[in-house]
Amino acid sequence: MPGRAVVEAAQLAFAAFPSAQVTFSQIHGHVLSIATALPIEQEGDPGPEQFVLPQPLVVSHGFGTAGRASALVELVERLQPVFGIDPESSRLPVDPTNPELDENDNEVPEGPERATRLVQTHLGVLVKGRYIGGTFDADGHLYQVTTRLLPLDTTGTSSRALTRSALYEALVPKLPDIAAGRPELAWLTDPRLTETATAAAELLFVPEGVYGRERLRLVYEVHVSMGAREALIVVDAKDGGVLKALDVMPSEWHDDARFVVSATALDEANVSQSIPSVRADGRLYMGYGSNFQSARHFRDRQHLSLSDAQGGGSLTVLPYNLPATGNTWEAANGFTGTRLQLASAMRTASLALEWWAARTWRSWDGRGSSLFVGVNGNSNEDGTPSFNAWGSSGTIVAGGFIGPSGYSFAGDVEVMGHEFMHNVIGVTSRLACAYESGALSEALADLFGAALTVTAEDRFKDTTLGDTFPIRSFSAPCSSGSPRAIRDS
Amino acid sequence: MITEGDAGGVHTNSGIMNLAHYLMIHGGAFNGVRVQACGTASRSRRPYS
Repeated sequence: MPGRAVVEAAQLAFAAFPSAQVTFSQIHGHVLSIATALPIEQEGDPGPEQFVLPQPLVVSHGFGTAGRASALVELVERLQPVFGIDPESSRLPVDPTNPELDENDNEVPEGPERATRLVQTHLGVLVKGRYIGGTFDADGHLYQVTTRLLPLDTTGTSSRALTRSALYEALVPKLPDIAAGRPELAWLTDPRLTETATAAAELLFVPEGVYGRERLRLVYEVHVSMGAREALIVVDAKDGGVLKALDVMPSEWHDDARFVVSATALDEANVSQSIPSVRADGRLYMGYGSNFQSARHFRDRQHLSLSDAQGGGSLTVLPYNLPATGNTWEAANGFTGTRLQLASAMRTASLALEWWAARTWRSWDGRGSSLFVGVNGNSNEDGTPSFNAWGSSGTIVAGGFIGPSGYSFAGDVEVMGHEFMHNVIGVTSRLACAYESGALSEALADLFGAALTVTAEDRFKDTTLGDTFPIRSFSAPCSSGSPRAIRDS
Repeated sequence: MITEGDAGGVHTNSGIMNLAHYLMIHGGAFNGVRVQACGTASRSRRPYS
């Protein structure tokens, strides 16, 4: 499951930054951003987003006031024991005593300009194949971490990926085969593409990568464009095999033929799910559902957008009364609170929104409104965790706790689908949430939640509502205290 | 079944429609009525069509 990779990445980040207050901006893949809930307006590009070579810790760059430079030093110091890095192999480009400097080494005066520059400050770290970027606020507090998983080769039997020239050599002869029988990709046989690829191959670009874990696959994402046409071809970086070819919505017009190549690591079992969900007619372009697109477009934000012209809306997951510090905490009765629930909520709520948007071409309210999901850290008066979920008026609130048996509300696809449907019902049928109309609303929401696991997750399980733990039975309502018929009431 | 809490029992009285949905999908007999199954392929669309 993509979600599992996200959790693994989150655990990695937590290990690296044990005191960081982190939430998740993107899941469903191996590239994710982790940020605090602090809504800082970001200007400029915060850091590199290209494939990086495995190598010892290298600090790419950063700027320094004393406070922020100290934070950078602290970040590196935290990383060293986590990844077993020799402190002597790392270097810092900033002197903790330096004043705030601009790109020309001039001291930046106090004022708005300095504030802007501080927000842009970041630190990129390459750690044995993983890129980790940290961004700091004016006080030196880490407020964003971006990481890309490029798994370590722990066995020493590394597999080299193709160089760029080798990639073209492998791919270009296959273009006619890719285009064969597919009118939408027939333009791939244009000789100008071959000429461009040949010229591009002469540019030295050595994206050799090491990837040792079988579960992950390093792939090249090759965007081939010409005029107003664009194709996305996903190629196995190891052997040049074509995994997927799609006619996609062009991002911009090019008079010439272009190849744009980037690399990422994918869950081998989910390669097909990692391709952008793009309709050939261009009507729906779902940024979510694509490791590539989502990472590229939304890596620094706390929401994902379905840029559907008819209003796909956006989804934002935020902490709701989670503790100010710490990523996990103990709660009463064997419950554990964890910020990982934010990642779980993003996954489950995304599935519901995506399911709905793909079938109705609408956002939850048909107007493109945002959907906010709060992960709730509240406890009841008796100290027991608030273990519940509800949804209405563009919001879903789900408990931020994991129960003794591992179940949770935020991580339950069917529960989150149920709560999503309450939002839809609220603006469509407008069934009042009480008595008979409320029961009809609940039943419709139950049905939608159960349908999610059948269609979105491709498995059949619909005798109860609740993916991770049974809440209500469809076939035997009496087993959960519900009537089966009016006469039972 | 009117209850004091739960907005009059919305989470319990939903069982009536939930069983109806179950019978629509899987088929079966209940209360002297036999229901023909429509299967899961159409289930997700039926309530909204």
